[in-house]
Amino acid sequence: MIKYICLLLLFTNTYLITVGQVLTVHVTDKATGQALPGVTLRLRQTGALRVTNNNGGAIFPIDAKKDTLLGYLVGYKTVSRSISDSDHTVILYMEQKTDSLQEITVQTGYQRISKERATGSYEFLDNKLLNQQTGNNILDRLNGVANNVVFDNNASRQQPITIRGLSTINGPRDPLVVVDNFPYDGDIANINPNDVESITILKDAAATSIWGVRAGNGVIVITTKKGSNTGKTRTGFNADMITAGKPDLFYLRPVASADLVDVEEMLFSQGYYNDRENDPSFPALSPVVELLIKKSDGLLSSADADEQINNLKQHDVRNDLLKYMYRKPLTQQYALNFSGGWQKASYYLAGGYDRSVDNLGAVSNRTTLRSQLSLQLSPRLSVNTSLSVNLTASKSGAPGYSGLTNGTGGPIYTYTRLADASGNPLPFARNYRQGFVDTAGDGTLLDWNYYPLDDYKHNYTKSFLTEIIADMSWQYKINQLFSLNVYYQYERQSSDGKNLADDQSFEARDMINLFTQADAFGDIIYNVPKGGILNRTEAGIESHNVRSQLNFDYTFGNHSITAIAGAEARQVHTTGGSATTYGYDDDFLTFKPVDYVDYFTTYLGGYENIPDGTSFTDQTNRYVSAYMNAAYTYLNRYTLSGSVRKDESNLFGVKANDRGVPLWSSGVAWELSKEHFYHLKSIPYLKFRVTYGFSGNVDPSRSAVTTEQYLDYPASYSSYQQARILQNGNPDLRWEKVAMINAGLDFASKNNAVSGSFEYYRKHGTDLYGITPVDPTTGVGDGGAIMKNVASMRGSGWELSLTTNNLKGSLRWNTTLLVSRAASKTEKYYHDPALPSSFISSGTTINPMNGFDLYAVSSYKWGGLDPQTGDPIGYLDGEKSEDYQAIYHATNKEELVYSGSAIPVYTGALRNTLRWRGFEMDINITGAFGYFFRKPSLNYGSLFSMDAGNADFAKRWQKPGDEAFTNIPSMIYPDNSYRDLFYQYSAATVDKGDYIRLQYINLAYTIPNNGKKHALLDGIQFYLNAANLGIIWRANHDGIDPQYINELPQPRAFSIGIRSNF
Amino acid sequence: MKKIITLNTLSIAIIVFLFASACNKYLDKKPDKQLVVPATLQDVQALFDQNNLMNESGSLTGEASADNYYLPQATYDALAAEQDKELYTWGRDIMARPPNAWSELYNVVYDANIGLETLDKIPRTAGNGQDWDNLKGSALFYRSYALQQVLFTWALAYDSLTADQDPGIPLRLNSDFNEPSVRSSVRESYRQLISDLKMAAGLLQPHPSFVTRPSKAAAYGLLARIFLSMRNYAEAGLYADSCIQLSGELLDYNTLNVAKTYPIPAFNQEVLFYEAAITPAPLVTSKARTDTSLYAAYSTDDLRKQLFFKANADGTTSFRGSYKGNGGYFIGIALDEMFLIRAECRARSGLMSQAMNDLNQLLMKRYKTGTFTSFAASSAGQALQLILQERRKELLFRDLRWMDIKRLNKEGANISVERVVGQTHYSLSPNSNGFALPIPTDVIELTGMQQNPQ
Repeated sequence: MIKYICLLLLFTNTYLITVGQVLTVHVTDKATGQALPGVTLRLRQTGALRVTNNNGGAIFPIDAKKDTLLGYLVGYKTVSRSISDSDHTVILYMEQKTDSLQEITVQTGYQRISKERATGSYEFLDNKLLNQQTGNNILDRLNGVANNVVFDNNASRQQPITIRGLSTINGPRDPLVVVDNFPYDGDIANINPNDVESITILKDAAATSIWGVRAGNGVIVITTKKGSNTGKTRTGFNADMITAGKPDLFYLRPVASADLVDVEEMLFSQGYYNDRENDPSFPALSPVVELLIKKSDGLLSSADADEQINNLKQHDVRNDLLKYMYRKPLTQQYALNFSGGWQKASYYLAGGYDRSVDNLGAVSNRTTLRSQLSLQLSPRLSVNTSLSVNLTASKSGAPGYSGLTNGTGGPIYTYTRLADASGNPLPFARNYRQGFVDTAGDGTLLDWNYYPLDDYKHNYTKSFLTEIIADMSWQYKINQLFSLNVYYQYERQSSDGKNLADDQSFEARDMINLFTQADAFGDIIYNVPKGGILNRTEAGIESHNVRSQLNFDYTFGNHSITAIAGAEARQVHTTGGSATTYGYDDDFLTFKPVDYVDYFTTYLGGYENIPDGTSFTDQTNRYVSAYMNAAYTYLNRYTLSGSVRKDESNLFGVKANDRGVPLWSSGVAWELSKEHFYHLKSIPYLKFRVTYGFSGNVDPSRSAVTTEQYLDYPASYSSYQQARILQNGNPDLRWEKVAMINAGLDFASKNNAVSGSFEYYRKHGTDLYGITPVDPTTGVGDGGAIMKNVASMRGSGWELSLTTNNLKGSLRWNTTLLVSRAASKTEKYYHDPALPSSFISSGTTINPMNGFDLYAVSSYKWGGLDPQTGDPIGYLDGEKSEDYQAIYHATNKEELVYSGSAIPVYTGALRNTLRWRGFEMDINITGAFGYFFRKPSLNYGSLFSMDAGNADFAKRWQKPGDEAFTNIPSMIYPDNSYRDLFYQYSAATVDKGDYIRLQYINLAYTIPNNGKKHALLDGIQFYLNAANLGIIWRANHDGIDPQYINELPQPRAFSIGIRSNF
Repeated sequence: MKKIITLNTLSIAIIVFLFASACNKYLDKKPDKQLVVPATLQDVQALFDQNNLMNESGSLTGEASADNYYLPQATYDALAAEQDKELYTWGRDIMARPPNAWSELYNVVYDANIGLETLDKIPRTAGNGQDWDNLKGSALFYRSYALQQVLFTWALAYDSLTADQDPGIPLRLNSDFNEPSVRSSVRESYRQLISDLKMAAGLLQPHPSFVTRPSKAAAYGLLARIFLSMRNYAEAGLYADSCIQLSGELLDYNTLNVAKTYPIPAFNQEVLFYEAAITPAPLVTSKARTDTSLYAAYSTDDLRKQLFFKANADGTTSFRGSYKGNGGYFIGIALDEMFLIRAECRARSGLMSQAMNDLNQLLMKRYKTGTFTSFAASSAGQALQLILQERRKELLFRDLRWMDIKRLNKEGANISVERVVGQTHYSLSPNSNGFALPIPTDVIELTGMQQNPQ
């Protein structure tokens, strides 16, 4: 019976709202014109309560002839306004309370929630903070301003951004990036930072669980700028210019020219190069070795050879590179936008143009256009559309120091001369011996020299990227409790790349020469026709996202419930392909056909076919998810939240019932300061919150069934269709699961003199994926290892954010301190690591020792250098040993030295902002502490075989007594690769990573708004910015920047710009 | 009011549920057009046609341990990895971490097993019978070819008296990598290879569409090679003969151009099954020097003297006679090997003239036209000696010598292998345990299987 009454009630309710008169209310911020969601509205007489939605809107039934509308929002002055039954739409302007804690709403991508009522861990970064750094990549602007978000430049670790440390070592390690409502599939560099309003970082399980399995590494939600309903048109613009110095090539420490010459002379005397001289394919020998050969063959007098060699000893290729190849980079950015709106419509229109030329001359031009339109079609239905277009054209530049190699794959010889005295490019024997190049073919072949300074001008890549994102969303108010949102997003990105090696390029000349043959009559046949080689690539991404979400908002008395439930489907379709054209002439667009099928005897005696770059890819990923999220607030001080989500996908080889995993979270928040018994006057705001939840991760490249991949190139010789085993099916694989508990405390002292938050979290990860050795006899494994669920871990950490208002008045001074800790230890290792040597680590694999850091730097114990020989000394079974082979095979994992974490345990930033009149200065100092790294060291094997050596060579042990001040082993010949390995992975090459750096200084002057209308320069801001200012303090004594261990540090960059918002 | 909420929640839940279940079909979409779970004959064939694994990942570990070459001192000193130095001097630690010769061979075994397991799920019908059979035969052949290389390298020669006790090789006959690897006995290892190959020979087409694919002739050839290594000369001779019956003509070396860097063309008419090897550092053409007494054994009219060898500036010679057509090594099955097996087996069973006829048929194509006079022998024993000498001169650097040394030493040939490095003299005495090379240390450590004794 009761059921029927309820049903009846429901219908009547709906009916009433459908036919009765309604009042539509829009609440906007008086100062900014931004819509204000989360405002509690009450009609005094009827007592009806509503909370405004994302667009700041709410609808009331009107029962009384006259009433008073009241609006409440934390941080805002309460407003009241009388209304009558003739009012249908009302705009309510609310004014911020000064000196009160600013109400912040965070955007999760699914809903906008008041930070006040949030239980989870959210970090909110507004436009102003993001603008303290310049540059055209929005994510880079998080560096140093987001707490416990670590930027890592080490390319080999492939984890450019980590939030609260790593949750997994495999699978995607990047945080999920969401733009407005949907995950962003394109290149983040496509987003114009000038279009970004704010960023919210979701950190704990309660915050991320709404995004499901892709959110295990945290979520970065980017919210773009929108129009507002103020009826006023606002114009914003930004123009700036960024430049920087040339990179410090001398930061990298290759073996010095003179030392390299000495090593090569020693090797030559030992006959080291005999085999290469004997090689019928004429592999390149270094200029010094060629001189030594000429000298020993009597083709060059001793004196001449020595003089030439001595000249090379004085030379450093880095000076040539700085002089002829590197330049100062320049980035220019221009952005212009208009926004505004009326009662029922708002718009935002923006355009941007960026041009950057990097320090190697690579050019990128980006044009972005964005339009957004919101319409209130009826009191119940509103629609929001946006369209973004991004066009990027780029062209590659010079190869740079790291792009130049010698013939063995090592770095270009330090003594190489790239130009003659008058600056003309000199050839460099990279592929073939100079003597062979000079004489091969008796004039029938093309010039076979490689000119590093010139070649990139004839061998370059041009690419063009087009991206369109169209969004549409509808919001329909079903009744006073429910509303329905439907979102749809279409994204299409296509990029075309053209790599042209023209007929002057080494690549084309080399290919033509290799495939040149003389036929039976002695005529020359060019199997690869003369001309350029064009490689075209195309890649396209097309994605559809659909989401349908039911919102529930209900407030009665002191109770308030907000809930969402929805389902979404998503398809990402990636296509691509490539093709090679020979004999290509870019002036006339002509080309010549070649024979890809037959194998030719190449000029160097090889048996090869002409490489055909044709390939195709076509991938479709589909995801279906259902989610629910609810929060209940009582008395505006107790909040209870919960969420659950299930994701499914079409991941290949996953059994249907294993496709999804439900993830859930729950949390509570308690605003202590609202309690009657709370009397701490000095801390008027205090909120406590706790959450608990799960995130999971599945490595899409591993599956339960064996999968086979058809290769996009035919089998050699036979030209048959071919395939390979891609995944070795392993039914034992399980999901990685990470449980996370998060406790947070938000506080503010009186007048906000001190405000901030403290968060503490613990993680418990089970079934973590790790690389574990596998018996090669099984026929599986990559490098003798496969991925398995290997370990469980426990992690814990905390984040402290503290903002103080140090000075008020005409000179205002704010300080923000961010300090965080993120540590994780191996709790249990499931497999017995049979090969201790494979756990010598620089911190890129899970450490198998229980109780030690999950990613640890571990090394062989170091016993110094042998005073007689300069040999490194290790330990075997507790005794000193120089049997390196035995050390490699028989060291127990217990005998290894664990230095500590390979990932910073503590990170922090200290940001000071000073304001005086229109001036503002921001200085940010960042640091990372409590971690270790392995420094580049000397490996004699690489030095001999590839000329890849470290400048440490100069400090090597040379005579008894040297062991007192050096750890660098003596040079021996023949080399012992186990000795090299031992030294390289000994504790002697580990250093502390701790550092403090000056992240940026930002200086801005805003022309004060003197109240006169249309004053031309009102609100215009001029700014200067200096970034990458370098290290202030570091723990290591070798001058190594731990963020750039093997690569060049970013040179100091300076920006100058102007921006405005009328 | 509470009920309303419940009802609404319920209806939402139902909608969500319906939506989700409708999506199951949506999720059956293949994520990548290039990806399949192997299920068709085409899938199996494509897997086997991946010839950089199935045909070019063979082992030369035995050849690198044998006596066809030596390294000058400076070359030895310049070897970058200790494992390569140990490989040259029969040390205990001869393999780098995977990928190495052992792991590559077992990788082939794994793919062959995947093929067999896929075939088990495909019904053999009248329509697909021929292809199905050919693929099953191919799978067995590829697996046997890889395991044969493991057996010849890492186990002692077959001795019917001790074959049950002598440790053989891990026979991995399915793709389940969670199953531990165990060494079978030498007898069991041979038994498996022979039965698989006999089955393969019954299933395979007589001739392949391309010699990267197995054929009946190749299966006979491999059986002949395996029986020869067991010193079962009767069977070896029969299979060599069956192979020759199915095959074409020998290549006349007079037609080759000696001026080319690598004068013997790849995929020439003698190649019955193409298999090439990954070259270990000591055997790289610029390093390995041909054994001087071996080089001296070629007469001046023997075309092989020029076609097979490149003279180096230091007076030494390097091998350039590979059937791979470049600096790599061919270790597949070729017709010349079959002629030599048949000749040897005929000589051993006393058929002297037939044996000499086989030998002369081969040598006729190896000598300069007009200079060749048929070899003659006065006894079957002398014929055998001639044939064995020509076997060494014809089949050098095909990873066959290592097994030949082991096999012939079982018959008292008393071949010991010597190496001189600096002041150190290394030697492997005939029939010593060192002829079963040490299994990679990581395999021993991970599986606990028995290591070959020093």
